[in-house]
Amino acid sequence: MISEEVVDLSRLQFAMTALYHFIFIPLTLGLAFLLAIMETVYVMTGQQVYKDMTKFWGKLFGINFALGVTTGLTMEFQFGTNWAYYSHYVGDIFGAPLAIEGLMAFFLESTFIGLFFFGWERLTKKQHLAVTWLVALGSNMSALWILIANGWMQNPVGAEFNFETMRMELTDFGALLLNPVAQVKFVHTVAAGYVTGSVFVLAISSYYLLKKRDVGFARRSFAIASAFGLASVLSVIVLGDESGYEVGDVQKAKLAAIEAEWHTEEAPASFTLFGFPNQETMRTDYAVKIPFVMGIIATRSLDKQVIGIHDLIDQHEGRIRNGMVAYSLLEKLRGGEKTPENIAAFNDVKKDLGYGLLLKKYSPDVVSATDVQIKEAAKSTIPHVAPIFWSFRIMVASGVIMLILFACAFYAVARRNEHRKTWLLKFALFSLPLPWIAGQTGWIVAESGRQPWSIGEMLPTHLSASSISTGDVWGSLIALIVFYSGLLVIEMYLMIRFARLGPSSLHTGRYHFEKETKTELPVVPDTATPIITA
Amino acid sequence: MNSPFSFLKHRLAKEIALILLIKLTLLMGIKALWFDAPTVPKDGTVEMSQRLLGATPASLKLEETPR
Repeated sequence: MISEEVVDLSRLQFAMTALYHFIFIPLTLGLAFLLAIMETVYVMTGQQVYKDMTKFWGKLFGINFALGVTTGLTMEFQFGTNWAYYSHYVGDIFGAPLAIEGLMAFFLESTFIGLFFFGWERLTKKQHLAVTWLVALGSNMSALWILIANGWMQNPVGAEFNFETMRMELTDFGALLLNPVAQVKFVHTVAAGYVTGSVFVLAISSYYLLKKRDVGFARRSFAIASAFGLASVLSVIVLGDESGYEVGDVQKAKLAAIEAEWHTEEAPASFTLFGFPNQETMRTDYAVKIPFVMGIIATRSLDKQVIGIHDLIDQHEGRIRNGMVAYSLLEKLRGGEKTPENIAAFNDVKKDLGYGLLLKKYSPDVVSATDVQIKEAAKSTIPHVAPIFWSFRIMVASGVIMLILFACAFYAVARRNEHRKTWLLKFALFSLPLPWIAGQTGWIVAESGRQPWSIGEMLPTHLSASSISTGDVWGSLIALIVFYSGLLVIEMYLMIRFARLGPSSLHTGRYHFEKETKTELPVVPDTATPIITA
Repeated sequence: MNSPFSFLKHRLAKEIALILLIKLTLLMGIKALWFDAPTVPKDGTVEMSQRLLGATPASLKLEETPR
């Protein structure tokens, strides 16, 4: 008997570790590229301050990278410990991108990170610059493979179920690689990482400017972060829109949940800006709607409908009934009746086998499930609407605030008066949590919206968990919470310590806290020379 | 004319090649020690069948062979 408590606890554990992990990852992705840009300016101009910037922000990058790696390791082990049936069912496909990611991180990313930190005195300027770009490239390539794996969970292309092995098997590696959901997810996620890195540099630079210390260093960092951040946040918005379009194409239940679209509206559907979704009554109370917007975003047309939750449940009921036929045929095939007719009939309906498997939660005998049980299973194909609805809006609101921040910051940098705009510096400083809020809520939308599937329309989550005791999961969950919280405390302590010290932590004798040899870099005149002289 | 491997004369290239070689050796060592054959779970197919279908078909109570 499958324990629902084990399934829920395993989900909680994976969600917790993934969300912890994603505190560190976006900063790694973003800072790596910012370091590469700073060092490129150093190599092009020869100005020492850009080398100091690369080294200082690189130090914060190093702290974050080390802790990010640690939090990621436990996630991979959980596939074996908590999700053994999942691993057996799809491991042949899912394992490939994970293994490539591991090898890429081991051979490319970690090798060049070592050279980045220890190669300053041993490499020429250009060699070190190449190393820094390879670190940025390596960290982004690692993200690519992870998101190919995750994209496949959302949209399992290039694979087929084999009744002989009871496993999904890869049929087209190219389709796995070029999965449109994975590609869109990758560019959206890494661009969100660039925004995170930019807000981080912008906020800490603003802190120095508010304290009126290390002004030359901080203004240059602020300038690079504002330009890179503005380009990145615009990319995130455009790519997020593309991601919404892909979701509308392959994950209709997720899209309907994001929009709390209970009934199919006349095209083009309106967008619910605000409201309180109620899953019991299947309506959104106090809804504030903007006409046409959702239809245009989700279908790129004025005449295509966005299917509502009621209609989706009806469609899924049909697929569950079809899945019952697939299930019955699978039983026959596994029982030895491998006639060509049975195999052909099974191949015709096996795309709905996953829907039939949903019934396992409601009926001990899938083939003879009652209408009530089928309707119950059909209703379960819609994820919890309210958390997804709200998470999506928090993510979008955070994105809009960051767009305003970067637009103001970039404008001020262009006017060369950002260091005098106290409101802007405070705005930047207090915006520091925003990219993390957006990232975490974004993942909640992506992964809660995938429920009740671990592999979209193929394998229900409740069948994927291992046969372990609740005590085992509680034990590992508590251990991980304690361990990860410890890591977070260490990260915060080190980050705050080094951020407060600023470039003085480089011990070059040129910065604020090095009183004895203090020779502050001159403040760049407001209107004379540009901040960046490329 | 430069040989296609002339870049190996650079110290950086040599060092990176050495690091990668050490890593490759480590990986091969780990593989040889713990992963010398595919790790197929005992009766994996039957267990999966039980999980999804709820019964063990007598005809397939064979242990899966590594592929």
